[in-house]
Amino acid sequence: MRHCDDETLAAIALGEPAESRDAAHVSECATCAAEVASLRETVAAVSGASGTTLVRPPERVWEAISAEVEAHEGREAGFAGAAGEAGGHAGDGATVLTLDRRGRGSAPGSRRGSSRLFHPWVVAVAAASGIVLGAIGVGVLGPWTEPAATVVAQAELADLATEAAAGEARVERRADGTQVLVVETPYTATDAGALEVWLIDPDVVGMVSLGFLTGERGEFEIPAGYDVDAFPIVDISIEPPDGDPTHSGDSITRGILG
Amino acid sequence: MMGTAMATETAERGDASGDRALDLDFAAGVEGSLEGLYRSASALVYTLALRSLGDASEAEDVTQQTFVAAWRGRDGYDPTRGSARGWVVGIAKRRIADALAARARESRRLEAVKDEPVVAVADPLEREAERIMVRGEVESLGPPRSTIVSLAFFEGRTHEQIAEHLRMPLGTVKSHLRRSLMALRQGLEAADASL
Repeated sequence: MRHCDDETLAAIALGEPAESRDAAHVSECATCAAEVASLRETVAAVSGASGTTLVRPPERVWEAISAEVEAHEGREAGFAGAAGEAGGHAGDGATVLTLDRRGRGSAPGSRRGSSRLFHPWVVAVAAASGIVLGAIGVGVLGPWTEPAATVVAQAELADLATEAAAGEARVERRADGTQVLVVETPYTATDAGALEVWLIDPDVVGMVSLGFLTGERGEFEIPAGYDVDAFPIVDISIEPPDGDPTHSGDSITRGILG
Repeated sequence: MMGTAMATETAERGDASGDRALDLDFAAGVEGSLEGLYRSASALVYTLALRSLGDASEAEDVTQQTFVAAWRGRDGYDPTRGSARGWVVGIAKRRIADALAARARESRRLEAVKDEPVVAVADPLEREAERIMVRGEVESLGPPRSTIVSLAFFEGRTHEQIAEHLRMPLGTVKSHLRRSLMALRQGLEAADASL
């Protein structure tokens, strides 16, 4: 018996009309029926969260964490680990929220030796995952970067249809204060149209065109008055040569500058 | 630069592979991973503390304690068992429980025998915690999926309205919703597993 694929099961759980073949299979197959039931639970959980919004803590909280962690880094060798913190639990409040099912606790000697040493590969991994750049916000990204430019934001681009990585965009501030969006992506213009680069606001309502991308790399000066905080979405669209200056609605990739 | 961009996704984009990379980096104590985890989970932790404790300054304290404890105790985090985000929320819950327990002791001292069972507040809090976790997972989908899911589930828009609003083909919206649902289930399971 051939099972339904995951997307079909998700579609059914979302209440989309199923093809009769799939509907019949799910009604007969315990495995697929259980999958749909489980996905429906997720649907219910997500729907049930509509009344809640997340609140971000003020930035001083991160500063305090960062300072506290750094203050301890030097004394790491003598540090007894978090066995007491995470493994134990004090007080009758445990009945409220205790979820500690893990027997924990590590002796100081068991701490991985590499955790604090910045081997080149560690730095490379961190840099590749964007974490170091994200953390410091400024980086010199290679020989093609003009010496006086600093990177103020960057975004990984992903293909909207496949979610595959599709290059990157970054905002550089030049020595003269102008901001430039640098786009590097493997897409090329096709018969369907040219590739137009946009900055879009988080509601995907306001947008500004920066121009057409004509190679694997393009640089676009961001018009004065436009702020990437207010327009953080980088979008590349396919624009047919129809003379219509508005966005075609046919986006191929997007990324969020951060 | 293309090479690195193609090889990995940033943690901040928050999709499944980015989260996974963050989990592994955090477990290995990679420089910067604590900030990555903080950016990904601090709103969850803070909101949970704020709703449970009802006090912004206490919630800030709990948030700070939670991430400091998470970093120091990262050897106890096992990335094969669940997400770092879920794990850090587990620590936060224990911190919140401690704060509530301390309060209960204090109020017992002050008010003699007004002995309301602590369990009474457990259920609504636990449900709210679940909702907050769901919100966190939705946010971690990253755009455009987080936007699409919010519009569909939280604002009750139809697929057609979303497609029009985001200028996306209807099929793309539907496909994003299906994949988001799968990712959300996986994310919530991973978070549960590491609590």
